[in-house]
Amino acid sequence: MLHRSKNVERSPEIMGQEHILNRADIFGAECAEGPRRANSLEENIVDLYAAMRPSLLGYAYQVVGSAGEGEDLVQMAFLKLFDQMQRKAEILNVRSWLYRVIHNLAIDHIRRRGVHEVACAEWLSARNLTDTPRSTENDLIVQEQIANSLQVLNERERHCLMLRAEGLSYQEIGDVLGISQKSVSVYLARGLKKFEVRNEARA
Amino acid sequence: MKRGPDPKPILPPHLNDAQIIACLDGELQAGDLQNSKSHLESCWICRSRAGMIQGSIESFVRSRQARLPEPTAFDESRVEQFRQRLLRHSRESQASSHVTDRVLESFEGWRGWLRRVSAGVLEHRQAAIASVMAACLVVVMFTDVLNTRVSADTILTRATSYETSHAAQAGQVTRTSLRVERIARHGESRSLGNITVVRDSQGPTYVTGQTAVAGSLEMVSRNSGTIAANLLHSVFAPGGEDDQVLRYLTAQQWVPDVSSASFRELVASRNRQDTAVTRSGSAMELHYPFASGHVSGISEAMLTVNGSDYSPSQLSIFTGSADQSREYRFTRTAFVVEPRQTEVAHLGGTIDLPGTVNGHGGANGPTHKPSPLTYLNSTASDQEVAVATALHKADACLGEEIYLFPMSDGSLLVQGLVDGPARRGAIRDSLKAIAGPLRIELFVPRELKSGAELYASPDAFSDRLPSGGTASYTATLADLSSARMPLYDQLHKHFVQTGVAPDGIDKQIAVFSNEVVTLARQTFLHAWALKKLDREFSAERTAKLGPSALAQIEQIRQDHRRWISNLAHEQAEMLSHVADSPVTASLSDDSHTQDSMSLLRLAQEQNDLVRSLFTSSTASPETSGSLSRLLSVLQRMGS
Repeated sequence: MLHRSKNVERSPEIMGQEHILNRADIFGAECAEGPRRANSLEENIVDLYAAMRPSLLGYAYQVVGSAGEGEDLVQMAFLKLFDQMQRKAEILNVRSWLYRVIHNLAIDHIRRRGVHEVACAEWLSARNLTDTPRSTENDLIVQEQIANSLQVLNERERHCLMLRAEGLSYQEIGDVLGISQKSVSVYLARGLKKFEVRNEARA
Repeated sequence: MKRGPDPKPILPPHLNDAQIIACLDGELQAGDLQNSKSHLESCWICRSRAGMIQGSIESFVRSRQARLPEPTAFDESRVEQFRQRLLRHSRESQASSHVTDRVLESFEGWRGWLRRVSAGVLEHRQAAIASVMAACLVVVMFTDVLNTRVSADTILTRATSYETSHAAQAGQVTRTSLRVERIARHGESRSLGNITVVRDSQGPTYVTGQTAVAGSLEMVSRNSGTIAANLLHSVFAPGGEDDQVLRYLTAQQWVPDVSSASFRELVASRNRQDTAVTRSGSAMELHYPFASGHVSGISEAMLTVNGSDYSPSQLSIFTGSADQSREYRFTRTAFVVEPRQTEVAHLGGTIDLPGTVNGHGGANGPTHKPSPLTYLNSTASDQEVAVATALHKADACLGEEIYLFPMSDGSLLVQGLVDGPARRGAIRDSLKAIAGPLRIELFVPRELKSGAELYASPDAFSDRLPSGGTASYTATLADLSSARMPLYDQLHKHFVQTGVAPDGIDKQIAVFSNEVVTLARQTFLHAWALKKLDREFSAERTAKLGPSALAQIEQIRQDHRRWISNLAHEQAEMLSHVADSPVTASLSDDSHTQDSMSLLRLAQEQNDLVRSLFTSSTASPETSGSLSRLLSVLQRMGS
């Protein structure tokens, strides 16, 4: 998966609406359900939303711990993208731009709630309440372990790992979080080390 | 696992976790990537570490999958829900953007226009300044022209408003005095007289004219065309160079007056529309030119109004051609508002205030100082009869300049000039018993610097009476130097016959002459007083008097007649001795009662004859005929 993401993150930087239309597929979005609607900016944005929604929603969901709030953050980010396209603003990398907007919205949202430190706990409780048929006892143990292991990571390490898992390059992660590629590399190494040690300790 | 630098310099150092992860992620630079891959292939330790890190990555990815929510059936509807949300957002942003765009576009338009204009102004600065100046000049000129065209009629309307607000209120009359002048081209001014316009709050308007040309005073009403024509005749001489104007104004029945109404009547048929206004000091002159070749011969009419209150002060009629223009100027000299009660019987009369220009009486407010009335605009009262009787008894009616004035406030004024304080005291004593408001202003000559302190006689007739002499004789009253007296020879003969000593004859002649002259003078003064009495107490003025007052007046008349008769008899008696032939034949012819005017004429004649016969004179009248005529006159007066 990392390799696939690696190919995706090498996608050329796009500029403006035409690039979005021509380059939508290279984001890995399988958006071709039926014929395209009118060739308007709104429809292009909707298509791009449909293609990128799973990845963006996954990150937003992990940050804020709520599917509904995550969905709202993603849509808000696309509305902002629409405004930017209408103003013909220059966006070099649409994907990293969307992640950065969602990241900032999520951070603001969490800070307004004042519960950013308990995002994982909420996630865990939500998972417990929504006990799916697929969940087995072993899965629940694993999930709890994962949640606990994530708690040993600091915010930067967690965000770097999450964004890297979504397929973003170091450059894109640095753009989203506002840090350098070297810092991204260090945070990734430290995060994986902590995650590994936590898993070894549980084992 | 601790991996430090290889102690052996020939072996490359082990890779750290970051390097291994970056190598796995392909994030190393091309050279570093190649070196790292080579090292991993050759180094079991690092390759083992890389495996562990890969395991951790896979573990993390799995945990991610576990954290993510399960895909639901709502995901498809999420896309549609987002589409709707986006469309709403799009419409809202378009609506707001349209407004914003319009504002921005208009702002851009204005900014562009301003930029172009300012650039043009800056580029052609002098031309722009000149254009603005020219525009201002045009506006000023236009405004001035409009104001001038409007203001001539507007000012006339304001003058009408002024007159309306200063019209006679209930119980009042207004009297406007006008001075009439004729001004020739070279500025030669000639006074034509005075006109008084009396407006009664409860009656018609009367116009009274007193003109120097006619020398008479006539009262006319506005509706009396004949008398109005007479008034015009006294201004515009008939048959003169402005006879055309006279005929036109007579046909128009125009009555001279300085008022907006009169001015409107004057210019109503001028057959032109243009007007002009000029300022002359604080006054404004309204010029209304007449059409060229107008039937009236008038070239222009001008009304002068006060610049502050718009009261009309002067009306001018210009006639003749440009090089021979003449101006008939009517100037308001006085304007007074008076109580009506003393004006009811006779409206009119003049306020002749020469030299006093009081054209804005309205601005000065109503004048309440009583003014003397004439016999024509007042009626006699019992008090006036009493005063006249008292003055008669004091002989103040015989030649002294003492007049009884009925005043505008209903009071009486005895004003005059006497010889000395004793005479003044005697007259005052005679008036002590008079009841009612009476003022006495008696002066001795040294108290008067000029005649201005004295009112003119209430009767113009008084002013025209000779003081005893006539223009045909340059005589000195009672001249004792009898050397050239025409009757000297006859008187000398008479006194010789009567046995007077020769050295006393001249003295006797002088005494005799002086006595005759005195008697003649007294006879004349009584006749004059009788005539004056007729005018002072005319039938019109005495219509409302009681029988006793009328009886008093009749008594005064009889007194004068008796004195005239007695004095005439006395003279005739004296002269009969001197005369060569008796004149008894003519006595029976004129034995009937003479009216006052006839008596006055006879008295004046006898006085003139006496003065010619008994005073020294350069002329040499025919003495016997004159004496005979004198005796005849005296007999007629004495009947």
